[in-house]
Amino acid sequence: MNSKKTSKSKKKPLIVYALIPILGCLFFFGIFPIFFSFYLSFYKWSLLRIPEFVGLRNYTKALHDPVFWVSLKNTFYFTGLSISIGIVIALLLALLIHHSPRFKSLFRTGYFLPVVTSMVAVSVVWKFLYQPDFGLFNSILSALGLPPQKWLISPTLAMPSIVVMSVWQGLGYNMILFMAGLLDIPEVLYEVADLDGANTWNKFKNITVPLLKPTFLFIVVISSIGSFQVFTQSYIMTRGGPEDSTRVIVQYIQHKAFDTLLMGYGSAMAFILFAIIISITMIELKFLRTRWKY
Amino acid sequence: MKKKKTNLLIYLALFSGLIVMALPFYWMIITAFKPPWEAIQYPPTWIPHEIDLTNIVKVWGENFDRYYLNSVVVACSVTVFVLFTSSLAGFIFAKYDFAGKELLFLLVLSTMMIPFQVIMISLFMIMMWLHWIDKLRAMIVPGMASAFGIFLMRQFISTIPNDLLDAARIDGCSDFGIYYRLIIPNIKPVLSALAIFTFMWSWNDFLWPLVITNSIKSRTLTVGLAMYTLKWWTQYNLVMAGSLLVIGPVIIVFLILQKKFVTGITLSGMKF
Repeated sequence: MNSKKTSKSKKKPLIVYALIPILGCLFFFGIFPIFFSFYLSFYKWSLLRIPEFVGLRNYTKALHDPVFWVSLKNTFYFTGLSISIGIVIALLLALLIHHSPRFKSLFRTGYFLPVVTSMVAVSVVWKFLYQPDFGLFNSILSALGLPPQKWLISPTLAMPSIVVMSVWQGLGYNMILFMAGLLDIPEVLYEVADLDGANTWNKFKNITVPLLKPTFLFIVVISSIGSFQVFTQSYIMTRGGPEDSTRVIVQYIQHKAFDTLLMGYGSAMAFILFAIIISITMIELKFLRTRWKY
Repeated sequence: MKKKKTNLLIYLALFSGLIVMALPFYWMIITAFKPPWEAIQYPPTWIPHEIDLTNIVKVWGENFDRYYLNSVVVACSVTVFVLFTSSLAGFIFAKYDFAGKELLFLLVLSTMMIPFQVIMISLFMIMMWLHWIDKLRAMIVPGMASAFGIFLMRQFISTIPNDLLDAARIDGCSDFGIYYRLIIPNIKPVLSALAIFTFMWSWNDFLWPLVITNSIKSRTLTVGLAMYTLKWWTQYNLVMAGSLLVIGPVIIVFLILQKKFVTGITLSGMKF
């Protein structure tokens, strides 16, 4: 590593000072707010009055708040469902495209397209597709002779409906990552396996799966961190309903902090969310790393 | 012969999948051009009986021109700043030594681990204190430096051989000169990837603009669409036209720059 360094001069090169404004900006808007948020979480602060110190009350309030727990549960539900479905489909697509002799670019572009679009617009469009009276999905169901569904108005179907849309939007991204991982696997391994008479399933199980583990781990970690922060879909499509079935934690935080002006309470809940995300990430890293064998 | 059959199956699966993927877009586009009565017809028409171009005009008239302007200004500004700060900081971290460098870089990385929701409330307070609520700069300034960008640039710039820099120095080139003449031209692909990423992320950002804007003055496209949908939900043809206006440009840009997009993702993904 040292051989890559330039020779050290006696005085510090002027250019290094350019870091001051850059890192200053980064830290002021990226690190300082964390401490400020932490500080805020011990106060009761709506914008209009003087903040009132309440100690741990915001945290105990959260732990006793049934909507808080429902929001957490919904968020876990969303994360679990969307990651499991999403990763399986993404891997499947990556494998298919990887083995497709032609049209690779076309497929890649087509499946990735939803990823670049705004989740707001996607939510709006899918809300229309799910519309029980005029929506496309119910009309397709009717055409097939199946009963129309309430989709976003049904407490049981609302969250899965949002999951399906989210998977649709995001699978292109994971697909690309899987494709990159597949390209990293040396062809030679498969050829040797062929010589040994291995069939497709064996090759998949013993070569592809183990060598995709780093990619898989990366995708799971990144996806779960992102999924826990789900907000837009819930806000646009259902605003947390029906019956709180799609109320996710970030949506609840945003509502409490900016609609009801309980900023301290919102901060406390955000910190609990933060702790949860860190814990889940560490669990994932530990759990998936130990199963990593070559 | 078996190979041919497998290939056909692969094509079949992938093309059918593509149709499923494209369906929501198709539906959005045709509804955006349907007259009001046809948009609410049940069963819906798969091919519009009548094309109505006024939907887009109506939506545009409801402040979408302002929303566009705001989104463009914010996204472009953030992208330009991020490119500059990331490449410069990445260069410094990669090629210069100074006290506390490792610690500082670790701090930079740590900002990436913090979910936005943890800081959004206090960030709002800071904006209040600065009197920047409902101003474009509230969306631009916090995004001017990007930890991800700095990380990415540092990774790439460290692969530039030091001999190149030493040679330039011997020729009398200043540090900033090296940055401008040597580094920038050599990292063009990463710069493009970062530019696309940053622009797309800023353009699609929703939660922060939602929180920090409260009037048409500074509202960006994403928030504008959300507000519009709230108000005009039952006019599906208008709402779809609005969505089209938001998604359209991004799709066009993406189709033109696809290769760079994909490179960008694999670069950022595999550098860990």
